[in-house]
Amino acid sequence: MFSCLPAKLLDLTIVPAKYEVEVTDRFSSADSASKRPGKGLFDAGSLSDAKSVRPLKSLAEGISSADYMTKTLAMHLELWERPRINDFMRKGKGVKAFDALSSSDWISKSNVITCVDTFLGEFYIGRRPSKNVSDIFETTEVVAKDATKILYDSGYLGDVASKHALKILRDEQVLGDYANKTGIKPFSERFGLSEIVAKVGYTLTGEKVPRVYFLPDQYKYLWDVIEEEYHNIKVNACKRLYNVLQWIRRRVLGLKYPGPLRDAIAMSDYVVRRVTIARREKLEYDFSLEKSK
Amino acid sequence: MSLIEDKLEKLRDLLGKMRYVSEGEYVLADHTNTFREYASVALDALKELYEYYKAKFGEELQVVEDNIQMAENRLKFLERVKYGDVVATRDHNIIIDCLKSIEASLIEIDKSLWLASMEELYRLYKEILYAL
Repeated sequence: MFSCLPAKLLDLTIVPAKYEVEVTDRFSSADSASKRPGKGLFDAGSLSDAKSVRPLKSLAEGISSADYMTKTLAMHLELWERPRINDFMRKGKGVKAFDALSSSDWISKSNVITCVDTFLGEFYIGRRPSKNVSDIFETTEVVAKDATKILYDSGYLGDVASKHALKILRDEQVLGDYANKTGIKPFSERFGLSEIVAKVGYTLTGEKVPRVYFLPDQYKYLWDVIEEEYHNIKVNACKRLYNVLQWIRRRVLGLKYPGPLRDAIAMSDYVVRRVTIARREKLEYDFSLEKSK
Repeated sequence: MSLIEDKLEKLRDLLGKMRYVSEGEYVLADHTNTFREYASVALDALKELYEYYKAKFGEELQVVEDNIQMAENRLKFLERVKYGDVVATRDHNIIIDCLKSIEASLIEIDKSLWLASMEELYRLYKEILYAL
């Protein structure tokens, strides 16, 4: 006799169980939104508005709305430090610098090593990205920033969204909102000013006599000619100096007072002519790279 | 005092050799050499005067010493020229640099002498006041 039923019926049901562990420590936060698919450790305090999106492991710590520090360990290293800053400064011609203060909301997304520092008080920033000239201001403190590929300064920013790919040098000042997307070497501008010669002259015993200058051939138009007037001025100066020597001799020896020394030997040097040359190199943005993306 | 008198006498002789020039005249080697010699002798005279000043008032004037040192250093670079040499810019510049240094030194000595005379007057004024 055969049975249509199996010899032994085994009914086993597996009920899957899901465990989710979440550790959240949050206090005094008005608005906060975060999204993290992976492991996360977040500690926030006294935050008014903060938004962050990070794909992988992250470590974030925010302290007050004005001063906070965020360290992110993701695919790349990111270090942001933004203390309270109430001053901003202007850099010289064509280049502007500023300091950020109490940015309430900001969103950043970057995939290259980025170093952004903002500082407090009177200072100057000497920047040495790679091949650039550093800008120097009147200073009481010195801060030098070295960034391999990116140097980014922002100040008075309300909302910032930026995406940087490769070499970027950017200075912004007093911006409300801006969004930026840059490619390779978006903009580069260099400005240099060199002084060829400052021709100095003397007031020799009351008469103006310039020094003469002999320059390389490329500045041949700046050559000086020794004129006959200069020779005559020297003769006059020699005569006056002889009289002054006599006058001083009588004073030193206590002889009869020779009278007041005339104002003929005035002491004042003057710059006859100053020649400067400005060199400016400018590389415009290459839009073809942007369109090809 | 004979040293300073000798130097002033020599300066007078050199001044007699100097000539004014006008447009179109040649630049002679003697012009540059006379100026060079004048600057050298005038510098020696200045040093003599300064030594007398230090001996009399017992103080050193840093400005004067710096100017003397600068003028001496500049004169080392100026050599005598001869017929056929190119008139270089240094022939002009070094001479006026030296003359300017001598002038500045003399003015500084004059200032110090004026201050010393004012102090002497003040001292006499106080003595008269006490006597009255």
